[in-house]
Amino acid sequence: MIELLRTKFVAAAVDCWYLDRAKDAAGEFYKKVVSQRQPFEPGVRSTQGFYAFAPEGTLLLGWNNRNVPRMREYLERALRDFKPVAAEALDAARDPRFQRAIPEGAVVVDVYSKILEADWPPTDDEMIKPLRVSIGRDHLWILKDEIEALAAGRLPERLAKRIARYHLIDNTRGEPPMWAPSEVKELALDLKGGRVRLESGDGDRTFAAAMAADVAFRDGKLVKFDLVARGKFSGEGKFTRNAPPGPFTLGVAFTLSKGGEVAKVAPQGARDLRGYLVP
Amino acid sequence: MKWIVLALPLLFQDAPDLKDLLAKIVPPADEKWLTIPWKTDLLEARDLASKEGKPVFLWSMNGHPLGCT
Repeated sequence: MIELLRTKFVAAAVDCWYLDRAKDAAGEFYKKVVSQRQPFEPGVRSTQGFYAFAPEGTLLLGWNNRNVPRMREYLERALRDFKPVAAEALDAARDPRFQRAIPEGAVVVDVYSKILEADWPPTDDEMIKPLRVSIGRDHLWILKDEIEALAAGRLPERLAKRIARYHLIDNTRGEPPMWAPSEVKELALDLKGGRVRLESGDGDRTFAAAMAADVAFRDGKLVKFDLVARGKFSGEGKFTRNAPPGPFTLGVAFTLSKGGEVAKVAPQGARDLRGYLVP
Repeated sequence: MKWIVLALPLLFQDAPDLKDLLAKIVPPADEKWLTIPWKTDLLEARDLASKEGKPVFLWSMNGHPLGCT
Protein backbone atom coordinates (compact mmCIF):
# COMPACT_ATOMS: atom_id res chain seq x y z
CA MET A 1 0.00 0.00 0.00
CA ILE A 2 2.86 2.37 0.80
CA GLU A 3 4.35 1.73 -2.63
CA LEU A 4 0.95 2.43 -4.19
CA LEU A 5 0.78 5.78 -2.42
CA ARG A 6 4.40 6.58 -3.27
CA THR A 7 4.04 5.94 -6.98
CA LYS A 8 0.43 6.26 -8.11
CA PHE A 9 -0.90 9.11 -5.98
CA VAL A 10 0.17 12.47 -4.68
CA ALA A 11 -0.29 11.98 -0.94
CA ALA A 12 -1.31 14.85 1.31
CA ALA A 13 -2.11 15.10 5.00
CA VAL A 14 -3.99 17.96 6.61
CA ASP A 15 -5.55 19.11 9.87
CA CYS A 16 -9.21 19.57 8.99
CA TRP A 17 -9.66 22.00 11.91
CA TYR A 18 -8.02 24.66 9.71
CA LEU A 19 -9.59 23.76 6.37
CA ASP A 20 -13.10 23.44 7.82
CA ARG A 21 -12.82 27.10 8.88
CA ALA A 22 -10.60 28.79 6.28
CA LYS A 23 -12.34 31.26 3.98
CA ASP A 24 -9.92 30.97 1.09
CA ALA A 25 -9.40 28.89 -2.04
CA ALA A 26 -7.85 25.98 -0.13
CA GLY A 27 -10.76 25.88 2.32
CA GLU A 28 -13.36 26.10 -0.43
CA PHE A 29 -11.64 23.40 -2.48
CA TYR A 30 -11.46 21.14 0.57
CA LYS A 31 -15.18 21.59 1.25
CA LYS A 32 -15.94 20.89 -2.40
CA VAL A 33 -14.13 17.55 -2.17
CA VAL A 34 -15.34 16.35 1.24
CA SER A 35 -18.99 17.37 0.69
CA GLN A 36 -19.18 14.82 -2.13
CA ARG A 37 -18.85 12.13 0.53
CA GLN A 38 -21.31 13.57 3.04
CA PRO A 39 -22.89 16.98 3.65
CA PHE A 40 -20.53 19.59 5.08
CA GLU A 41 -22.12 20.33 8.46
CA PRO A 42 -19.63 21.88 10.91
CA GLY A 43 -20.33 20.87 14.48
CA VAL A 44 -22.64 18.08 13.35
CA ARG A 45 -20.29 15.73 11.52
CA SER A 46 -16.54 15.67 11.17
CA THR A 47 -14.78 15.80 7.81
CA GLN A 48 -12.04 13.50 9.11
CA GLY A 49 -11.21 10.59 6.89
CA PHE A 50 -9.47 9.48 3.72
CA TYR A 51 -10.26 10.88 0.29
CA ALA A 52 -9.07 9.97 -3.18
CA PHE A 53 -9.89 12.67 -5.71
CA ALA A 54 -8.95 14.02 -9.10
CA PRO A 55 -6.99 17.30 -9.04
CA GLU A 56 -9.93 19.29 -10.43
CA GLY A 57 -11.95 18.20 -7.38
CA THR A 58 -13.98 15.17 -8.41
CA LEU A 59 -14.17 12.74 -5.50
CA LEU A 60 -13.25 9.20 -6.49
CA LEU A 61 -13.81 7.68 -3.06
CA GLY A 62 -14.06 8.82 0.54
CA TRP A 63 -13.96 6.64 3.66
CA ASN A 64 -12.94 6.65 7.30
CA ASN A 65 -11.63 3.18 8.03
CA ARG A 66 -8.03 2.12 8.67
CA ASN A 67 -8.45 -1.54 7.79
CA VAL A 68 -5.40 -2.14 5.59
CA PRO A 69 -6.82 -4.66 3.05
CA ARG A 70 -9.90 -2.47 2.64
CA MET A 71 -7.74 0.62 2.24
CA ARG A 72 -5.73 -1.06 -0.51
CA GLU A 73 -8.96 -2.12 -2.24
CA TYR A 74 -10.28 1.45 -2.09
CA LEU A 75 -7.07 2.90 -3.50
CA GLU A 76 -7.08 0.44 -6.39
CA ARG A 77 -10.73 1.22 -7.10
CA ALA A 78 -9.99 4.96 -7.08
CA LEU A 79 -7.15 4.43 -9.54
CA ARG A 80 -9.44 2.50 -11.90
CA ASP A 81 -12.00 5.33 -11.83
CA PHE A 82 -9.47 8.13 -12.23
CA LYS A 83 -9.45 10.09 -15.50
CA PRO A 84 -6.90 12.90 -15.65
CA VAL A 85 -8.47 16.30 -16.29
CA ALA A 86 -6.48 19.54 -16.21
CA ALA A 87 -7.12 21.52 -13.03
CA GLU A 88 -7.44 25.32 -13.11
CA ALA A 89 -5.03 27.30 -10.97
CA LEU A 90 -6.53 28.48 -7.68
CA ASP A 91 -5.79 31.62 -5.68
CA ALA A 92 -2.83 30.84 -3.42
CA ALA A 93 -3.68 33.62 -0.93
CA ARG A 94 -4.57 32.19 2.48
CA ASP A 95 -7.00 33.20 5.17
CA PRO A 96 -4.55 34.80 7.64
CA ARG A 97 -6.60 33.64 10.63
CA PHE A 98 -5.66 30.06 9.80
CA GLN A 99 -2.18 30.53 8.39
CA ARG A 100 0.48 28.81 10.52
CA ALA A 101 3.99 29.27 9.15
CA ILE A 102 7.15 28.64 11.16
CA PRO A 103 8.06 32.04 12.67
CA GLU A 104 11.11 33.69 11.12
CA GLY A 105 14.30 32.57 12.83
CA ALA A 106 12.53 29.86 14.83
CA VAL A 107 13.63 26.23 14.98
CA VAL A 108 11.39 23.19 14.96
CA VAL A 109 11.78 20.48 17.57
CA ASP A 110 10.18 17.05 17.17
CA VAL A 111 8.17 16.04 20.21
CA TYR A 112 7.12 12.47 20.99
CA SER A 113 5.11 11.07 23.89
CA LYS A 114 4.68 7.49 25.00
CA ILE A 115 3.11 5.61 27.87
CA LEU A 116 6.03 3.75 29.43
CA GLU A 117 4.31 1.86 32.26
CA ALA A 118 0.63 1.33 33.03
CA ASP A 119 -1.76 -1.15 34.59
CA TRP A 120 -4.02 -1.72 31.62
CA PRO A 121 -7.25 -3.65 32.03
CA PRO A 122 -7.50 -6.69 29.72
CA THR A 123 -8.97 -6.06 26.27
CA ASP A 124 -9.64 -7.98 23.07
CA ASP A 125 -10.58 -4.81 21.22
CA GLU A 126 -8.33 -4.59 18.17
CA MET A 127 -8.97 -0.85 17.91
CA ILE A 128 -7.84 -0.24 21.49
CA LYS A 129 -4.68 -2.38 21.49
CA PRO A 130 -2.61 -0.17 19.13
CA LEU A 131 -3.50 2.93 21.13
CA ARG A 132 -1.77 1.48 24.18
CA VAL A 133 1.60 1.42 22.44
CA SER A 134 1.17 4.39 20.15
CA ILE A 135 3.47 7.39 20.05
CA GLY A 136 2.10 10.93 20.19
CA ARG A 137 3.75 13.38 17.82
CA ASP A 138 3.99 17.12 17.75
CA HIS A 139 6.37 19.98 17.04
CA LEU A 140 7.73 22.61 19.38
CA TRP A 141 8.69 26.02 18.02
CA ILE A 142 11.63 27.75 19.71
CA LEU A 143 11.57 31.42 18.73
CA LYS A 144 14.56 33.44 17.56
CA ASP A 145 15.03 35.43 20.78
CA GLU A 146 14.64 32.24 22.81
CA ILE A 147 17.47 30.63 20.84
CA GLU A 148 19.61 33.66 21.64
CA ALA A 149 18.80 33.23 25.33
CA LEU A 150 19.74 29.55 25.15
CA ALA A 151 23.04 30.50 23.53
CA ALA A 152 23.65 32.80 26.48
CA GLY A 153 23.13 29.85 28.83
CA ARG A 154 19.59 30.66 29.95
CA LEU A 155 16.33 28.82 29.25
CA PRO A 156 13.73 31.60 29.03
CA GLU A 157 10.58 31.40 31.11
CA ARG A 158 8.38 31.84 28.03
CA LEU A 159 9.89 28.72 26.43
CA ALA A 160 9.59 26.74 29.66
CA LYS A 161 5.91 27.68 29.91
CA ARG A 162 5.28 26.75 26.25
CA ILE A 163 6.89 23.36 26.82
CA ALA A 164 4.86 22.74 29.97
CA ARG A 165 1.48 24.00 28.81
CA TYR A 166 1.44 22.71 25.23
CA HIS A 167 3.81 19.76 25.13
CA LEU A 168 3.76 17.90 28.45
CA ILE A 169 0.51 16.24 27.44
CA ASP A 170 -0.71 12.73 26.77
CA ASN A 171 -1.47 12.85 23.04
CA THR A 172 -0.95 9.12 22.50
CA ARG A 173 -4.66 8.50 21.80
CA GLY A 174 -5.80 11.70 20.11
CA GLU A 175 -6.16 15.39 20.77
CA PRO A 176 -5.64 16.15 24.46
CA PRO A 177 -6.59 19.31 26.33
CA MET A 178 -3.67 21.68 26.85
CA TRP A 179 -2.83 23.06 30.29
CA ALA A 180 -4.20 26.47 31.26
CA PRO A 181 -1.78 28.96 32.86
CA SER A 182 -3.36 28.38 36.27
CA GLU A 183 -2.85 24.62 35.89
CA VAL A 184 0.95 24.97 35.96
CA LYS A 185 1.48 24.45 39.67
CA GLU A 186 5.27 24.13 39.67
CA LEU A 187 7.79 24.67 36.90
CA ALA A 188 11.56 24.82 37.09
CA LEU A 189 13.52 24.16 33.92
CA ASP A 190 17.05 25.09 32.91
CA LEU A 191 19.55 23.84 30.36
CA LYS A 192 20.20 20.66 32.36
CA GLY A 193 16.66 19.74 33.36
CA GLY A 194 14.11 20.44 36.03
CA ARG A 195 10.72 19.56 37.45
CA VAL A 196 7.12 20.27 36.65
CA ARG A 197 3.75 19.68 38.29
CA LEU A 198 0.55 20.20 36.34
CA GLU A 199 -3.00 19.78 37.57
CA SER A 200 -6.29 20.55 35.86
CA GLY A 201 -8.77 22.84 37.57
CA ASP A 202 -11.06 19.97 38.49
CA GLY A 203 -8.12 17.79 39.55
CA ASP A 204 -9.05 15.10 37.03
CA ARG A 205 -5.77 15.33 35.11
CA THR A 206 -2.33 15.58 36.68
CA PHE A 207 1.26 15.21 35.54
CA ALA A 208 4.27 15.46 37.82
CA ALA A 209 7.55 14.89 36.05
CA ALA A 210 11.28 15.28 36.26
CA MET A 211 13.17 16.52 33.22
CA ALA A 212 16.68 16.18 31.84
CA ALA A 213 18.11 18.26 29.03
CA ASP A 214 21.16 18.65 26.82
CA VAL A 215 21.47 21.80 24.73
CA ALA A 216 24.44 22.55 22.50
CA PHE A 217 25.57 25.23 20.06
CA ARG A 218 28.24 25.08 17.38
CA ASP A 219 29.47 28.24 15.69
CA GLY A 220 26.52 30.10 17.16
CA LYS A 221 23.98 27.65 15.77
CA LEU A 222 21.69 25.51 17.91
CA VAL A 223 22.77 21.95 17.06
CA LYS A 224 21.23 20.00 19.92
CA PHE A 225 18.06 20.41 21.91
CA ASP A 226 17.42 17.13 23.65
CA LEU A 227 14.93 17.16 26.48
CA VAL A 228 13.02 14.38 28.20
CA ALA A 229 10.29 14.43 30.81
CA ARG A 230 9.18 11.37 32.73
CA GLY A 231 6.63 11.16 35.49
CA LYS A 232 3.23 10.08 36.71
CA PHE A 233 0.25 11.12 34.63
CA SER A 234 -3.37 10.52 35.51
CA GLY A 235 -6.60 11.21 33.69
CA GLU A 236 -7.71 11.75 30.13
CA GLY A 237 -9.46 14.29 27.91
CA LYS A 238 -12.68 14.29 25.93
CA PHE A 239 -10.81 13.17 22.81
CA THR A 240 -8.23 10.95 24.53
CA ARG A 241 -10.48 8.37 26.14
CA ASN A 242 -9.32 4.90 27.22
CA ALA A 243 -6.39 6.08 29.33
CA PRO A 244 -5.14 3.65 31.96
CA PRO A 245 -7.55 3.75 34.91
CA GLY A 246 -4.92 4.75 37.46
CA PRO A 247 -1.72 6.79 37.38
CA PHE A 248 0.71 5.74 34.67
CA THR A 249 4.23 6.63 33.62
CA LEU A 250 4.34 9.01 30.68
CA GLY A 251 7.50 9.96 28.83
CA VAL A 252 7.87 12.96 26.54
CA ALA A 253 10.97 13.39 24.38
CA PHE A 254 12.17 16.44 22.43
CA THR A 255 14.88 16.48 19.80
CA LEU A 256 15.74 18.91 17.00
CA SER A 257 13.84 18.24 13.78
CA LYS A 258 15.80 17.28 10.69
CA GLY A 259 13.50 19.49 8.61
CA GLY A 260 11.63 18.50 5.48
CA GLU A 261 7.95 18.69 4.66
CA VAL A 262 6.72 17.12 7.90
CA ALA A 263 8.52 19.78 9.96
CA LYS A 264 6.20 22.38 8.40
CA VAL A 265 3.29 21.02 10.41
CA ALA A 266 2.45 23.57 13.07
CA PRO A 267 2.34 22.62 16.75
CA GLN A 268 -1.09 21.44 17.83
CA GLY A 269 -1.08 24.20 20.44
CA ALA A 270 -0.62 26.81 17.68
CA ARG A 271 -4.32 26.70 16.93
CA ASP A 272 -4.28 29.18 19.81
CA LEU A 273 -1.42 31.04 18.12
CA ARG A 274 -1.17 33.99 20.48
CA GLY A 275 -1.30 31.77 23.54
CA TYR A 276 1.27 29.41 22.06
CA LEU A 277 3.78 32.13 21.21
CA VAL A 278 3.33 33.98 24.52
CA PRO A 279 2.06 31.34 26.98
CA MET B 1 18.97 2.01 56.00
CA LYS B 2 15.35 1.05 55.37
CA TRP B 3 14.54 4.70 54.67
CA ILE B 4 17.29 4.91 52.03
CA VAL B 5 16.04 1.78 50.25
CA LEU B 6 12.48 3.11 50.19
CA ALA B 7 13.63 6.48 48.85
CA LEU B 8 15.74 5.07 46.01
CA PRO B 9 12.87 4.69 43.49
CA LEU B 10 11.89 8.31 44.13
CA LEU B 11 15.44 9.47 43.54
CA PHE B 12 15.58 7.56 40.28
CA GLN B 13 12.27 9.03 39.19
CA ASP B 14 13.78 12.46 39.77
CA ALA B 15 16.69 11.78 37.46
CA PRO B 16 15.52 10.60 34.05
CA ASP B 17 18.28 9.18 31.90
CA LEU B 18 18.27 11.42 28.83
CA LYS B 19 19.78 8.98 26.33
CA ASP B 20 17.79 6.02 27.60
CA LEU B 21 14.47 7.86 27.41
CA LEU B 22 15.18 9.28 23.98
CA ALA B 23 15.92 5.75 22.77
CA LYS B 24 12.68 4.44 24.30
CA ILE B 25 10.39 7.18 22.99
CA VAL B 26 11.76 8.58 19.72
CA PRO B 27 10.70 6.32 16.83
CA PRO B 28 13.28 5.05 14.33
CA ALA B 29 14.15 7.45 11.53
CA ASP B 30 13.21 4.95 8.82
CA GLU B 31 9.50 4.51 9.58
CA LYS B 32 7.90 3.16 6.42
CA TRP B 33 4.88 5.44 6.39
CA LEU B 34 7.20 8.43 6.38
CA THR B 35 8.85 7.22 3.16
CA ILE B 36 5.71 8.47 1.40
CA PRO B 37 6.46 11.97 0.03
CA TRP B 38 3.65 13.64 1.96
CA LYS B 39 2.54 17.13 1.05
CA THR B 40 1.19 19.25 3.86
CA ASP B 41 -0.44 21.90 1.67
CA LEU B 42 -3.64 20.86 -0.06
CA LEU B 43 -3.28 23.21 -3.03
CA GLU B 44 0.37 22.28 -3.58
CA ALA B 45 -0.68 18.61 -3.62
CA ARG B 46 -3.47 19.39 -6.07
CA ASP B 47 -1.12 21.31 -8.38
CA LEU B 48 1.49 18.56 -8.30
CA ALA B 49 -1.12 15.88 -9.01
CA SER B 50 -2.45 17.88 -11.96
CA LYS B 51 1.08 18.24 -13.34
CA GLU B 52 1.88 14.54 -12.91
CA GLY B 53 -1.53 13.24 -14.05
CA LYS B 54 -2.20 11.48 -10.74
CA PRO B 55 -5.07 11.49 -8.26
CA VAL B 56 -4.63 12.94 -4.78
CA PHE B 57 -4.80 10.77 -1.68
CA LEU B 58 -5.82 12.98 1.24
CA TRP B 59 -5.55 11.99 4.90
CA SER B 60 -7.55 14.48 6.92
CA MET B 61 -7.74 14.43 10.71
CA ASN B 62 -8.71 16.79 13.48
CA GLY B 63 -5.15 17.15 14.73
CA HIS B 64 -2.58 16.84 11.97
CA PRO B 65 -1.88 13.20 11.02
CA LEU B 66 1.84 13.93 10.53
CA GLY B 67 2.51 16.04 13.53
CA CYS B 68 -0.07 16.68 16.16
CA THR B 69 -1.40 13.45 17.50
